[in-house]
This record gives sequence, C-alpha cells and structure tokens, in this order.
Amino acid sequence: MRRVTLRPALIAGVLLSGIACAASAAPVAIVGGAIVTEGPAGTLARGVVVIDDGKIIAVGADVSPPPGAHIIDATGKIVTPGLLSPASNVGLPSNDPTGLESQAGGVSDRPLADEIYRAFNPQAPDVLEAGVDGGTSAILLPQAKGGAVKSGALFSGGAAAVELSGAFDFLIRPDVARVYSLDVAAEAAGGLNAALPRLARYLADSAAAGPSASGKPAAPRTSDEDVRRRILNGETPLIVEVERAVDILNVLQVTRPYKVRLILLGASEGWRVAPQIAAAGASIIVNADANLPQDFSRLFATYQNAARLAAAGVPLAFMGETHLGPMPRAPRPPRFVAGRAVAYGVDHETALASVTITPARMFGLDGELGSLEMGKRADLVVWSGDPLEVTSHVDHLFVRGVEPPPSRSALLRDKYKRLADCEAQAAPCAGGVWGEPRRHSPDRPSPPSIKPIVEPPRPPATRVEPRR
Amino acid sequence: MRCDSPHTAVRQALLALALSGLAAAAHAQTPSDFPSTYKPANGSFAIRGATILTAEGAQLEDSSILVLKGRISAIGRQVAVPDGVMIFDGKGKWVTPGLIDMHSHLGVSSAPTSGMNRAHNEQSGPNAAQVYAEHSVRADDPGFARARESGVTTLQVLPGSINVFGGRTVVLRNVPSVTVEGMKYPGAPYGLKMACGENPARTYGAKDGPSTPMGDMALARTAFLSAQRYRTAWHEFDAAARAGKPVAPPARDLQLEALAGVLDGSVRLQIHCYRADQMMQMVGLSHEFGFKITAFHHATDAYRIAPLLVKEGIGVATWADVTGPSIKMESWNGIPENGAFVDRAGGLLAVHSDSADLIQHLHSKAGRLRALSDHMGWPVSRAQAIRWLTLNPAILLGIARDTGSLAVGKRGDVVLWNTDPFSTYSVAQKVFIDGGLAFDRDGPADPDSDFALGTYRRAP
Repeated sequence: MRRVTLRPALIAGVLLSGIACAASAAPVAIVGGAIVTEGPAGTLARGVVVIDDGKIIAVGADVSPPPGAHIIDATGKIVTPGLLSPASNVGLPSNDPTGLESQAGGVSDRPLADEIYRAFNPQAPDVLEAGVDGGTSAILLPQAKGGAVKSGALFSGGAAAVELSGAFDFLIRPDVARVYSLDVAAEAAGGLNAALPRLARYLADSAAAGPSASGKPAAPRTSDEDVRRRILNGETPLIVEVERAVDILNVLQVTRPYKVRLILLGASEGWRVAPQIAAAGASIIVNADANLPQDFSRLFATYQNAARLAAAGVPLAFMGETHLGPMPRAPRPPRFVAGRAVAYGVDHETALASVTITPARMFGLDGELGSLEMGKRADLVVWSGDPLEVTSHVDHLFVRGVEPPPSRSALLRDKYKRLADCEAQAAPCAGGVWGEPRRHSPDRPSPPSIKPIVEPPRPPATRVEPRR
Repeated sequence: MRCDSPHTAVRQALLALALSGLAAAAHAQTPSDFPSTYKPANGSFAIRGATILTAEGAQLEDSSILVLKGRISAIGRQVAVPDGVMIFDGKGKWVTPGLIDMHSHLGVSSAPTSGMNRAHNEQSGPNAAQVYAEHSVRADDPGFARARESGVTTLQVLPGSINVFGGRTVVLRNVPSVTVEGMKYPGAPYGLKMACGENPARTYGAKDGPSTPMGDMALARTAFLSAQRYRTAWHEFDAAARAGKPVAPPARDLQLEALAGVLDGSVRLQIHCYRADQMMQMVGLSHEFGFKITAFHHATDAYRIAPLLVKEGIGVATWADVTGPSIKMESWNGIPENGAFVDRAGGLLAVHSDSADLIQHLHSKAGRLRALSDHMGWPVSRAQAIRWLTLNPAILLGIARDTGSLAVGKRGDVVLWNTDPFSTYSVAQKVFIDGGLAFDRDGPADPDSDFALGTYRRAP
C-alpha cells in the first residue's frame, strides 16, 4: 500500500543524525528484480544489487547477499538507477510559494561569486516529492532575473549537483556547469545582436589574454580565470539556453574554436539543425513536450524534436515537469516527459538512459552516479513496473543507501484517506476536520458530558494599551 | 458504473440534478448575442473490433461503433454497417468519446503568447462580469489543432483568474474555423468565472480593489446584492408587460446581467478556488444568495472536503497528479491523489488542463490519477475513469444530452487510440467531430493551421 516501508533504524538514522545522512547499519540486498544497470552490464533479467555504507558493493545475476543483509524481494519488479533531473529548481526559493517572485539566480561575469547550492533547502517539501517519481539527485540551475540583467550579467551563474535525500550534507558537486541564457544575455547586452559577441569576447579574451599572457598575477580574478580555463578546456560544461535553429548555429560557431563542452537547454528547433549539433559534439536538455510556437523563437517546435535529435546521435536529457508542463527549471523529474517522448518516437532504452546515465555523463558525474555499478553511489529505485509508464510506482527508493522519509503529500494523503474510509464505513472517526460533529456508531454510547472546569482566579491584569 | 462505490446512489442523484439544470431557460434579459454559426460535419463512419469505453459505464471488448450523418447510430458486438460508410479497423485499438477540457485558455492566451495574444485577464477592475471570453479568443491559435490531435473535441475557454468576477466563459467545438462563432457550441449555457483567494488580492491590492480575501468576499456580496435588485426590476417589468401595462424596460447592464444569470441558474458559476476554507466560504455565499455553484476549478484542497462538496452537488475540475507547494501558497496542501478523493466520495470529477501543453495529454494524466487511486486501495475501472475526461465535464458544462459519452443519438465525437488511452504511450490515431474526420495521424502531414503553414512538419 504505502510507497515505502522503512526500517525504523533507517528513519531514526535520518531524523536523528540531522546533518549527516546516515548510511544503513547493515548491507541491503535487492534480489530477484530485473536490473537495468545503465552500465556495461546492460540489463539483467534477474539479479541482485547489494548496497552498503552508501555505495553499491555488488551487482550481478549470480551475486549472493552477504550474511546479515536486509533483503528486499524485487521479484517481478524493475530496478534502475535513481533519476537525475538535469535542469531543476527543486528546493530553491524560486520554487517556494512565498518566494515565487524571487529567483535564486546568479549574477555576473565573475561566475564564482554565486553558489547556487547555498540557496538550496534540502528539507523543502518538493525535495522529497521528487522521490515519488524516482528522483534521487538534481542539477540546480540558476535563473538570472531583474538585478542580474540590469547589472549586465553575462552568465546566469553556476549549476550544482545535489542529492534529494532530505539530509543536510546534500552536496554532490558544487560546480557542474556554467549557465548562459541567450534571452537573459540579450536583455543585459541590449539586444540579441550584442549577446553572442559578448560570449565570444569572453572566451577569446580568456584564451588570448589570460593571467600568464598579461604577465600580471591578476590576484582578484584568479578564481574567475580558473573558471574560464575550465570552460575552455571542457572541464566545466557550458549550458546555453537557446531555442531558435539559427541561434543554435550561432552558438555552435562561437564555441567551435575551443574545446567547450556544450549543453543546449531548450532547443525547441534543434531538429532543424540536428546534424550540426551532433557534429559539434553538443548534448541537449530538451523540452520534449514543446510543440507549440509559444514565442517566435519556437515556430518550428514539434513533438518529433526529441526523436529526430536522438536519431542524429545527439545525447538527450529532458527538462522536468511543473503543474503546467515541462519548464527549463522544474522540481519534478522528467519521468513521464521521457515516457511521452517514447510515444512520439524516441526508443525506450534511449529514454530511460536520458533520465539516468546520459545526464550524468553530460555533467561529468558518471563516475559517481547514473548507473548501477560497483563503487557508485547507492542511488536506486525499485519500480512496480516500467518506470516511464503512468501505472508504475516507486516501491523503494534509496539515496546514498538510505530510504528517505515519506513526502508530505503522502502523509496528507494517508491522513485524509483514513478519514474518508471511516466516513464510508460510518465508523467513529477520530479527529474530525470539517467543523461538523463526527458520526458515532449506533451501538456506542455517546461520550459523557464533561463538567465545566471552574477557572482558577486570575491575578489582576496589568493594563496594556491596545495595539494599533 | 463502478460497483464498489459506497455512493453510487448519490452519484446518480447528482447526475440527475445536473441534467435537470438544462431545463432552466435563459432569462428574458439574456438575448442570444453573437450566435453560433457552427456547422457540424455530419459525417458517417464505423470502427470495428475495438475496445470501447462508452463513458456510460461499460468497457466493451471487440466491439463496433457506427456514426451516421454526425450522430451515433449503434454500438455493440454486432453492428450492421450500411454500404458506402467508411469502416476503420479497431483491432488492438481503443475507442473513447471525444475528450472535453473544462478549463482551457486556448485562444484567449494564444500562441505565440506575446502582445494581445495574452488576452485572458481583463484588468480594468476586479468585477469583469460584463466581459465575454469569446471576444478575446483568437481562432487562429495553433493550440486548438494540437489539442484536437490529442483527442480534445470540446473545451470550455475561460477568462483568467485575476478578477473576483472574471467574465463569461465560452464552450467551443474544437474545429478549424476562421471565426470564433464558427466554433461556439450551439446551445451550450454560458458560464461565469469567479476567483477567490490570492489572485484578485495580489492584482488589485496596490490599487483600489480588494487586497485580502475578506475584501474579495465583500466585493462579491455587494455585487450579488445589486444583481438581486436588478433581477427584481426585470421580474417586475416582465409581470407588468404580461399584464399589458405600458412600462419601459429597465436599462440593460451587462455586468449585472451575468450575475443575475447566476441567480437564475441560466449562467453556470465556475469558481477558481484552491483552499478548502475558501471553497466553503464560497458555498456560504451561494447559500446567502440562493444560487448554485457548478464547479470549483483547480481546487487542490478538494480532497480535504470532498464529502461536503458532494453534499452541495458541486463538481471539481482539477489537475491529475500535481503537488501543491510549487504552484502557489494557497495550493500548499495539494496532493497528486486529490481527484481520487472526489471520485471516491461520489462527486463529479473533471480532469482539466489549464495549459496548452497539458491539454495534449489529459488522457495519460487521467491514467496517472487512476493508477494513484488504485495504489491507495481505491481501484477505479477504466470505464469510470474515462468519465473524468468526457461525461463529467459534459454534465458540468450542460451539454451532456448531446455529447460526452458514446450513446445512440449523441454527437459523433469519437477518438480512436493506438492503445489503452490511460497509458503514457497512447496517442490519438483518429479524431472524429460530429462524424467528420478532424484529425488523422495516418493521413497526409498537412500543416494544421494557417499560423503553422511553413513551419510545422510531422514525421513522414
């Protein structure tokens, strides 16, 4: 019935430790399920995954659970790596109802000034909600707005990888990409015509006139120059938020002279230039549900975009979902977005990789997560069926070896379901919530009336001026 | 009809009540302005050997449906198809009624959403009961075609939610048309959009309008008091005129006319409201003035008061499978299973979109809600769940005698799906409106709207 059956020790571990996310005391062995490793081992029709101390310690068809291991029977179920949202605002103030107008966003040409993970609340309710759809980690993307635009920012900031466990030590990696939004840059630069030349200058200045070329120590900008160097040599990917086909070509042209590792975000018209994107070695975080010309930079948007890009060999990941559909920054993992992409031509295997190992590779995290391999983080999901199908549910979810506590929405659901079930049975219901007396079963005497308690005499009140 | 519901009788009674509302004649003061010029295709076709969800309670295996001259003529195992009628093979495929979206802003917030294409919120004041959504509809919105490709054959287009009274809604047939009148559902009653809670207060708080929910409520009560007087004046005029007295009619007031229509029952009240406490205050308002609330929209708290809403005979139009916190403060308690509680309590649930994207996968969203309900121990049959997208919104829109289910005599609004429509992987293969083939995934990849000419290419 319930989504997760937690071992009390694990709950206590999570709740009491507070800061450190406690790894389980004993190893856990998940046995009997089909295992989609997303690694070199491929998919095992029946197998065992053993996790201990937050890591995967064994995966295989012939693995025996270690003695004393807690056994989870996954017979008839599907085990996959946990889902990685590649473009998320989960746990950020921009996703908090009291702060919907504010945005956690970065600022400047000095990209190290902003650390998006400092704005992340690992215990915001939407963090555990992501687990309902199998989300175990996310890339937090900053979104530059208002002040950043006025300040003439070039970058929207740096992106960070975080785990979705509810633990305070959530950080997987603080700086996994730099974000350049063409719209934001155009607004800051005073026009689309000025936006990309600024990016070109930034890259070229850095290549030609770094600290060593100028001969100066450049002390205050050392860290910034380090960021530039890492963008130029491909250590830190550059995310470019762009939709129009011609703009995509311009971005490819500007970055071509360097070893920039390019990730396009959005790319609604990507299919028009799919071969060029593939030839440049760029990857895409696509809005697979965008098939409307919601603005004039997406006139050619179509549901076939993702399938055509995949066919051209472009590595694909998907934007997450909000209540009104996918957005470039959304709290829910793109589980059903990926499923719908299958309905419109992406093959199932590619779609499942696009929510696990493919984005992990994009961000250079594949050494730690994205597949079920020995030594990797124990981020994994036991599904009741096909992970991309709406009828399937998460039976178990582990983040770094621990099952997070239930989400707030699950607790609300369970509370009101109890009320609804007892209402239907005309049984006595504890804790009526509707401002009406609850029903009592006929064979039960009504509660005795309670005598009013005589109030103890109060001390004389000191006179207080009424507040205005 | 699902057999395990403890409230089957309640549901039936509710249904009867909702249908009887159809009889309420438009009051004399509401002339039929801007009449529909919709021309039904009146086509004929048959589908053979499909799994059919009728929305009348049945899931029929290996069955056929026949539509003649726009109307459903027969459904069942053995259906004789007259010569010359096009027959489609439904083997391995599914058939449902055309989907109906209770809550859309297609046309009034049209793609591309720039300039006057975003025309759903009239910001001249918090009481905009005088406006008609149809006067903001851009018939060229490419979103209509995309919704049609996903099986949506009828939709209610509403004004936005920044106003306490947002204006009249319009029910549209989802057919290609250069004019709005060419899409208007003939005879569908008007709705009036209301909104409680954050939006009006946020919009007008810094101006002259209400800045709190209590301000919203005071504005609504004041407006209905005026509407009562207006309605009385017209009743007195009607009586005098009938008695042959030489009296002049009262001056027409578009704003009060809409509100008086709500008091009469000729205009259906559709209220945007998230919070349980605020929904119940709207119920209090309806008791104070003696009108009926047709449905709460969005209603992310509906699960907390489902039995109370059922008791009041109020429907719920909401998303399937959303959580509240990331929408807004007043949706903080939203849970993915919300709609399942309404259905379980015997209420009329409509799964809505509120989005040009979501309207294209209402079917898999409903599938998700059905799965969530199953998962919490409340199994729902497909035969029941299909009503969330068809018969229930038809009842709430006052068009159920005419569409919303596959029953003999109803409009031939039919969708042929490649697989179980409640699956992630389902797509509409063919969509029929009044028996006419309105979309064909197997057909030539024509551009789907004038706006999309030269841009959109379907896969070969």
